Amino acid sequence: MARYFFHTHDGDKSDLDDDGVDLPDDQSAKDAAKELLAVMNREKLPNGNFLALSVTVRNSNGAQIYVATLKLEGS
Amino acid sequence: MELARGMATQEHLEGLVLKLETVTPLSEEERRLLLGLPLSVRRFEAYRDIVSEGERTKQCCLVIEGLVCRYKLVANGERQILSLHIPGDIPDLHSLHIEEMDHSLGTLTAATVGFIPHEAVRNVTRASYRVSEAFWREALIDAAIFREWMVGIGRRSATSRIAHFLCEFVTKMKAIGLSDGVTCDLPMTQPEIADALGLSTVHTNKKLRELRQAKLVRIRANRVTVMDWDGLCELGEFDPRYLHLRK
Repeated sequence: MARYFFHTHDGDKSDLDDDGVDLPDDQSAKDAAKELLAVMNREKLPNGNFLALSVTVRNSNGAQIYVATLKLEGS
Repeated sequence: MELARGMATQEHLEGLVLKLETVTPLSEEERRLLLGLPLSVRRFEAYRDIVSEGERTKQCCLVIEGLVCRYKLVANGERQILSLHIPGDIPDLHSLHIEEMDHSLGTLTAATVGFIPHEAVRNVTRASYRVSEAFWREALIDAAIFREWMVGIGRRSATSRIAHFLCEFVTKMKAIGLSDGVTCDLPMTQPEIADALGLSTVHTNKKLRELRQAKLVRIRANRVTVMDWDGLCELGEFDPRYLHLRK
């Protein structure tokens, strides 16, 4: 297990993860980032037609290992 | 490994009496009947099954010490924690009438559990209609808690779900004297809280941080401290009436 930090931005505000979560490996952390984007999308969706969400994953050395972005444009 | 542990049976059963009395007042005679139940006490390490899905049981389990949960595993290996049980609870009271377990009962911490033969429980309920009613009421409140969890998992936001869960846990711990209503032990990891609330660990971690930043609650070293009870209740839409506590 290794500790990963999931920093997010939801278009309005940033959330810096200073706690971190223990996960088996980098791949699990990347999958978790994508899953987090999906739930952030569900939480933000009712508020409008334009949305840009992002998750940045860093490992315990502070190295960025993954960035995922989700954009929505409704019309 | 399970270790046998011999202690005064009556002392262990006092937790059961205390728990039942948070809902149902008992007479001296009813207390005497309950304290006379035979009990075999066993110690479990954390993360052990007490009773597994599919087993047929001839006894009920009384939680004496520690935190116990009911859970089910799904095909992809994920776990849903169905309920949490604290000292004084009999999480498999239903096994008295439906003997085959349709879920598993396991420990989240090291735990002391007392096994009471079904026949002894039946004898007590036959001897006292009011004890029988008290057990029946326990099962009904258990169902009320499941309804609240269902509403949470189905309809509440993740933040609201976590807030409701924390309010419920502290309220239940306070009722049996293990919390002052502000702070209590919460010996659960974030993955375990996530499994109880149908959330991912990363999502749970993020939402717990939001609750902390909003100065509603602090969770540190297996201990929860509520900093703003009214705010946490409002966020979780927590109304303790479904627990039917006397005070």
